[in-house]
Amino acid sequence: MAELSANNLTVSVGPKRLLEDVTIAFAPAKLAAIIGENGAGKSTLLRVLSGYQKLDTGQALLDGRDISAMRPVERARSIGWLPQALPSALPVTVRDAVALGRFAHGGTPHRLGEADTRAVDDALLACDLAELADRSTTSLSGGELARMHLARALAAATPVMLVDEPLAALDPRHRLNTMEMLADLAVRQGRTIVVVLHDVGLAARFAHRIIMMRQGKVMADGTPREVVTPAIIADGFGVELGVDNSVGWPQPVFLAPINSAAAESQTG
Amino acid sequence: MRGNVILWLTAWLLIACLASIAIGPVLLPPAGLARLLGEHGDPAIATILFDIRLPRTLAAAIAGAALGISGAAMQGLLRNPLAEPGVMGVSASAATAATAVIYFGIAPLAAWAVPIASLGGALMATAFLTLAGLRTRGIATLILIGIALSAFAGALMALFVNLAPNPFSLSDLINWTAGSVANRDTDDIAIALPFILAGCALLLSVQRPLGLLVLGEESAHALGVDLMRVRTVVVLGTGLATGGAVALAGMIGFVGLVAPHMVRAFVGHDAGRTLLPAALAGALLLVVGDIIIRVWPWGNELHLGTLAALVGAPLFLLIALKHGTIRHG
Repeated sequence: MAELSANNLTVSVGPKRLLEDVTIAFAPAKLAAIIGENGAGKSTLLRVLSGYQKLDTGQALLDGRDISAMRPVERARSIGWLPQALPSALPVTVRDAVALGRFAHGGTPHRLGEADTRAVDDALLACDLAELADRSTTSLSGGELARMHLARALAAATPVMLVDEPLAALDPRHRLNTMEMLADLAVRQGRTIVVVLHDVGLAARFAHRIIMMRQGKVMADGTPREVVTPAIIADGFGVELGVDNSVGWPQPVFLAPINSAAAESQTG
Repeated sequence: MRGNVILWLTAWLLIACLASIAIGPVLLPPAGLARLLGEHGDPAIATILFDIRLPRTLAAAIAGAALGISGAAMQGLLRNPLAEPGVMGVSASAATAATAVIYFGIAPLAAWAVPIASLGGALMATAFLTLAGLRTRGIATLILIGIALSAFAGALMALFVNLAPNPFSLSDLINWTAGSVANRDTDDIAIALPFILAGCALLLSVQRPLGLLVLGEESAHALGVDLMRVRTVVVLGTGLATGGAVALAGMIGFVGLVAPHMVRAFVGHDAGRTLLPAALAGALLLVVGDIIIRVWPWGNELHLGTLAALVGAPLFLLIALKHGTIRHG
């Protein structure tokens, strides 16, 4: 059980503010989804929580410890991060690529202990890759590659998982599978899972909590029913929204883009 | 598999070293060496063996190993299959610094001056390339930066030669730029070897994390790689090994390119796992190359760097074309 928190995070690159005074905490056994328009600061927040991004001010903490001060291997055993930018293909088999996830536990693709092998096998199975395990990654489709990278993050078996847009290249079946799996990992294994998503519908259906970001700030934070509302979505995405509650969750129906003058009058 | 490759390469390297000792204007077959060196043997044979052939063979093997491992490490760190000390200007920078020390009359003051200058040049170039690698994404861009660095180092070398207060011989300069292990003695080896060994040891100490850089820096960080440490160790290790190799044998290009590519077919693409096999392959390449130039039947003896470029440059083109086809095809 790991509690992830961040206090007063501010990040700038040159004159541009990527995050501005963000304070947030993520509880164990919950799947939290971060949504927001392009450039809202979603990926930057994950980079900070993974200890990769340098901060102007503030602190990211894991169970009260400063993440940026943790030893790399120790941090990697606790916090898994699947970044957005990933290599298109690696000149190795799928199994070996997934086994790279065991680095912090001492495993390598060529020397896997019992626990490493189990973690790799479980990750391959969870991501529907067992049949492709011995194929070269160079022969995989975009969606299969995305699942392979997710499997590598799963193989690391970390109590905290930060996953940046894992669904982008996936077909509907694997999108649903992946979201079900992440929610299941959070609930059954007590992991703290934070996922950046563009699919508001899947966030509303599977996440326990949705955080809407805009211009480097947290704009809304709550349950799917609290966040997926016409007013908040209009403000965050500039899109007119209808909500279908008949399916058991607040399923968004995006109706039309709102021009900025109209958006201002709606939120102001 | 990798263990077998290392054993095979070691065996071939030993055979090549024995051949290198044996082959030359005077044949020294290994089987007859004991008799030739014995009580009633010819003292000239001992001179040829211990003062000429053995140092030359060792110099070729040591410089080749240093360049092979440096190429494998640079390719891993920069995630660029075309990176190697020669192409990227590291060797040229080392040679330029060494030339400056020679032509400005500093070299005679201390035996360590040339290798230290050579190391300094190599370290600066490697550090510069690593910084450039952090800011550039394209493989071609980084290669172009390396080529510019190489050209700049070459121009600086020409400038030093122009400004040098000491008269110099053209053959001396050619020895540096075209690369050679002829006329090396055990002192030359003793001076360069500690730096090369230290460089190799540093590089081998990061072979596990180096293999993860293929995923990109963010993913490697996520999996627990200490990026700053790996970068620093590879810069230092490559600088020491390449600087030592240049101090010993001058500029010999393409070994660091060809050796890792040779072994990759057998040991896979994990940059860390190619380090040791690439060192052995580099040593084998230069020892065999040095035998070839000694038995070269046409005209004067070729320089080792010239032969390396004759073989290596077309291979560089092939690799570049193959890579371009994969990326854009």
